[in-house]
Amino acid sequence: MTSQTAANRLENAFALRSTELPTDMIGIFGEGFPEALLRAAGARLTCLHVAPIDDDSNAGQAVSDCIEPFVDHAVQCFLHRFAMDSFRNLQAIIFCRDDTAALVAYQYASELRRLGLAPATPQLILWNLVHAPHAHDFNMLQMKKLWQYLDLAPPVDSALAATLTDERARANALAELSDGTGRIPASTAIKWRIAGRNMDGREHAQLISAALATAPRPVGQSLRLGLIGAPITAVDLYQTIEQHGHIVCDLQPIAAAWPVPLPEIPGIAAFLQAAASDPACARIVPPDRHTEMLLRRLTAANCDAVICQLQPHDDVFGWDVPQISDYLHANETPFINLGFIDPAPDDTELTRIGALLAHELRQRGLT
Amino acid sequence: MTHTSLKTTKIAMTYQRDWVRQLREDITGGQKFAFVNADTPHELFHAMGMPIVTNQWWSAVIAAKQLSEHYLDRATEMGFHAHLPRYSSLPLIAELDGDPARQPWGGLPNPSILCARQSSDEHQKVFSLWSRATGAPLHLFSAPGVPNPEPRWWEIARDDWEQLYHPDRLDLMVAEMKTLITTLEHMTGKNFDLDQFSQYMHAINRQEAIFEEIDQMIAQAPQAPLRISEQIPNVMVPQWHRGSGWALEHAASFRDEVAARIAEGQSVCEKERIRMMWIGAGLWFDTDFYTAFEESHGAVFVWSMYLPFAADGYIRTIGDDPLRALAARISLMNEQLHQPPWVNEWLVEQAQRYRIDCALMLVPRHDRFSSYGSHFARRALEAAGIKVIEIWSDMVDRRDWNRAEMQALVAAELDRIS
Repeated sequence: MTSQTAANRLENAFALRSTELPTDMIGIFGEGFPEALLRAAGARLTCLHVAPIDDDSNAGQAVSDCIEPFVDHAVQCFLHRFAMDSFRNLQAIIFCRDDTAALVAYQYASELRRLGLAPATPQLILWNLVHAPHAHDFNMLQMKKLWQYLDLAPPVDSALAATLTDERARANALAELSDGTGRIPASTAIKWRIAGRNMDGREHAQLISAALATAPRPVGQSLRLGLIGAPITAVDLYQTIEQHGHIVCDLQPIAAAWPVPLPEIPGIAAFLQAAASDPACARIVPPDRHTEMLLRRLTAANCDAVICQLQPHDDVFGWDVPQISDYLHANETPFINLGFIDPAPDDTELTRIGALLAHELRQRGLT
Repeated sequence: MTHTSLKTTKIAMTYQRDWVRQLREDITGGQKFAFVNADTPHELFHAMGMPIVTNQWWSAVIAAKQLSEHYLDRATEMGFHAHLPRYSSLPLIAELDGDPARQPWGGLPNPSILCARQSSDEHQKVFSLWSRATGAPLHLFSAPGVPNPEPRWWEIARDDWEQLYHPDRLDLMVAEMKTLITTLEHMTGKNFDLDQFSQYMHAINRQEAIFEEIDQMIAQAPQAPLRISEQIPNVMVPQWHRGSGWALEHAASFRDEVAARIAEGQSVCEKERIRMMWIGAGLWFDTDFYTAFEESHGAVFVWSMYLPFAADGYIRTIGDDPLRALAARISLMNEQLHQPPWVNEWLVEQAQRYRIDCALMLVPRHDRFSSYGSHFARRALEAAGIKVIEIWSDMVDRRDWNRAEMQALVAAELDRIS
């Protein structure tokens, strides 16, 4: 496979994500699911919360009337698509309770169905993975229930070992993709990362490795930027930021929270423990672990500036902002808070963001 | 007949004021206390003799003292964005503000322990910041979701709670409660007595059963015999002290006084024409709003969630495992009040029992946990023939509140009903 062919396949997979849904796949809504366990059991997965934000999806006034304007944009789009029967080919949809948006997506989808405003299939499953060290027995029981819900046999050891190998290859490829050099623009890296959410680990790793094979090393100096805040999939927002430097540390949740960490050894318990101790989850106990992870990675990336962007209905990340700002200030790293942005920015919004960023960088002597 | 306040209202307020004064003396004198969220098992702290201050109550006190404007502006200056939830964070901001003299009571001393449940996503963040600011250890209860939720939860919550709340969720919560008990034993030097705790849980059930009697009396009375502004202290002060001798005695006195009022034909508004329910937490900075439509429209708030929830949300058959029964009370407490399908079905049931004509629904857009499901609730109530007026404001932030505008908006809607 040529480098260009691999890149084209990744770009194509990104463009078609969650819009082509072959029969009997299992949909995942939300971050934090230990996908490797289902893949090892032979399931094919598709990720629903990174679908294009499509304001044209509208299931009608009765559905719109049930959804308050403060519900996350991605959830709103999902609910309309769900009510329009767009997921009829799926075997089931799994919602990750410890993802901020996913519990609401589950509750609203279930309620729309109960009210007769959404179709009776596919099966909707709420996945409880408690991100706390004392919850292992609880988490193991959830996995057992999930096998039953999905009518899947738990994977045998050899399948788990093979999947672990594949997922390690994916993790290594993703690490190379976002290696902090700016070799691949973050606007491309996020696409190639999301593209793999519907692929198994080996295929994704092979495509990334092939696509990277001829990628040029960056030439010249550029600002090293960190990106934190709300989950975003808007490639044009990345491109707007990249007009001012390389995003070498992308910690917004879509980039940082997938895939979940892998265990040292194969085994269902080990996979679950690794996922439950992932500091990328904002609901992890103790809560400081999440913030400390962000600070540690920002520090390691040696950023010239860190850019923060928020969604208007954020009720989680905003609590970390003053601490991150203070920390970066103490380390003489400029912190640029763009404030609330549209998660699906149009040209006007992108122009506004670009101008604001340019102004902020100029103010700090970074242009 | 002119409406007068209940004697028990004054008794409840006086008791709480004296208790708070004593608590303030005790904790400023160095006694340990816990700062806890409303949806945590207060019963464990009571059983271990550890006084508590409840986050949402303290938030309401700050708002009632008209201090929320200052603190929420300060929050923005500290770098917290303006759309973060306010009800659960106002006390934290007051703490971080670093000027105790401005706070009610001259501020709170540092708590000995903090406790929250991860029901709403901001809770672990707010309490984690509080822990960092004060050095107090934080005990967090998990809040796994409920698969396949049962809409008419109140019909089975008392007896079949094992099925309703799911055994695995209850196992987890009991385990987390045992960890908290061990911590409290170390802090207080006392041993947790399970038999005594069982008796205490039974006493709480008796108290809530009295509230249920009152709830039924008010629902069935020809006219509202008291305002919700009097219901709330007569319920919530005993709830704070639930299971204590005083609380049971007060609940019984409250019941007797309400019964006497109904028997005498007393009502808040003799020309009562429109019966209203207030959906959501209290409007803590402007509680007079509840009476604003009595004269003009004969519109009376008959219902707020605090009284009926005492029975449906608290009474749990105890059996031989009081900790598990407590887990059944707590493990979905907040969700049932705010989220689909639990809240919409319950509100319709309540509205029909109380013969409600019109519901005023508080929708705090930046307190999403309290607001999710508002439109499902509106839809369900309207389908049941009840007029719904949405009040897009916040329970503690008066910056969004324009009393004159809101009163005019509600009045215009009530004109259509009249």
